[in-house]
Amino acid sequence: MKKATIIISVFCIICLLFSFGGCEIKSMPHEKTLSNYFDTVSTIYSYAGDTEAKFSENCREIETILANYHKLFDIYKEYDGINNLCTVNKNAGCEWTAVDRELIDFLLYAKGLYYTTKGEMNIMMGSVLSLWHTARENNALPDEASLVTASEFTSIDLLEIDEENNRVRIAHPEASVDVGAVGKGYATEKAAQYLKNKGINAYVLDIGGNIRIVGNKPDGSGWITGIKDPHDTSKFAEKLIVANTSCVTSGDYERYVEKDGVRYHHIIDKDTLYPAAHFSSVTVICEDSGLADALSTALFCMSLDEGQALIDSLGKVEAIWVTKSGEKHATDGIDEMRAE
Amino acid sequence: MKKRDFIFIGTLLAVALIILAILAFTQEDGAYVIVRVDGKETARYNLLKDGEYILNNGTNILKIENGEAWMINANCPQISGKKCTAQGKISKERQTITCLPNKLTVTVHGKDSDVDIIVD
Repeated sequence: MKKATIIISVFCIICLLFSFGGCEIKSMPHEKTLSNYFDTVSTIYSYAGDTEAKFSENCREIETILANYHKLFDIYKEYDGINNLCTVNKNAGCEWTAVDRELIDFLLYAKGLYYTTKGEMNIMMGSVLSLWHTARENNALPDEASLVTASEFTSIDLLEIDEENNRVRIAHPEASVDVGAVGKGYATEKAAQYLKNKGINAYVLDIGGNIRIVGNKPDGSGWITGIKDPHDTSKFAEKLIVANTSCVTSGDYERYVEKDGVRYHHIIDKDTLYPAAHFSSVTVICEDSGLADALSTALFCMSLDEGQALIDSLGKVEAIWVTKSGEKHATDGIDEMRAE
Repeated sequence: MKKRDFIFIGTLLAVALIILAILAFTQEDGAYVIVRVDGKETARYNLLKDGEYILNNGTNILKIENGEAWMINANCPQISGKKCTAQGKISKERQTITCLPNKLTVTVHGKDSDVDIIVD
């Protein structure tokens, strides 16, 4: 055998060995965890096989976007140099607040979703939600009479948006804005759009449990995604294979106060002014994270029939409901997503 | 082929195998938990080794027993939702205990998992 043949064949054997050993190492995604945004823990994953440096750069950009919206949507704190929703709430019943175009765009978007969800997703529920927020902080229950009074100031029309002059005003001093039902999803989608605009694929954003998958894995496959069983969170209610989409779950097991053995969770039904009691969890799957976030809250507060009707009217949205007795209901499209 | 050639091939293969073996052993073997504070990894503990660990200069205490990990003490105030000491035991890939006030998470890694991501 010629020397060249020997060298080439040995080289091929070595390459083969490394490709078997190396694939274990390569298939681990990059990941970065963030703790400062939206009162939760978030993780950014890259399955793109990009370099550590590129991943870090993308993470920095994503973090900037999340930080920006975190500040804009914060109703508990103001920040130097910007007028955010805390500012807007402070000026309720008084003057107009000049805000960035970004905030105007969001408020218009959220107002639109109010109508889409027939009022079930309402960012003007602040007066009622703040009573529940205080209650959870003090491990107490809100006073029923106070809830009823507060509910009189939740009309979406109390939010006045002056697009021409980039200013907003809440028309009654008792009314306030609370964007918990859609803010996180909206910000997540902005981060996803940044990645898409740069042609970046195979990233997964886990923003406090709200999942946004951008693109497919490099080999074209999707991600096996587990949806927690609300009755036993160590198990999965569903395992789906999905790509380029958002998955958001609203559940009764996340934030709550427990009194006399009864759990009062954080998703308040506008009709009862108490935690919604239709389901244990609702998961929405659609591409836009803002829509997924808003819909998961809205569907959680509607009956199964109403929810299915809403989804049918929208198209390109799938959902899974888990009832309090553990029954599962799902839209037709879920079947083809199932991993098994 | 001459004997020299065989020695040459053998050496190259041996070197390749050694490098591969080094790479294989520097990979984490078995299940472990990663403790992160404010997004940065601060510690790792073997899930198969029983022990009690003081995390984050004493703000949280983690116990590992029988392949499960859970928080047995924390100085965080009781806020809405489950306090980290009430979040139960974790043992499966990607399962996480979160102590939000201390920006601390404990996550299981290194285990085979049947899911890539979890919606929560």
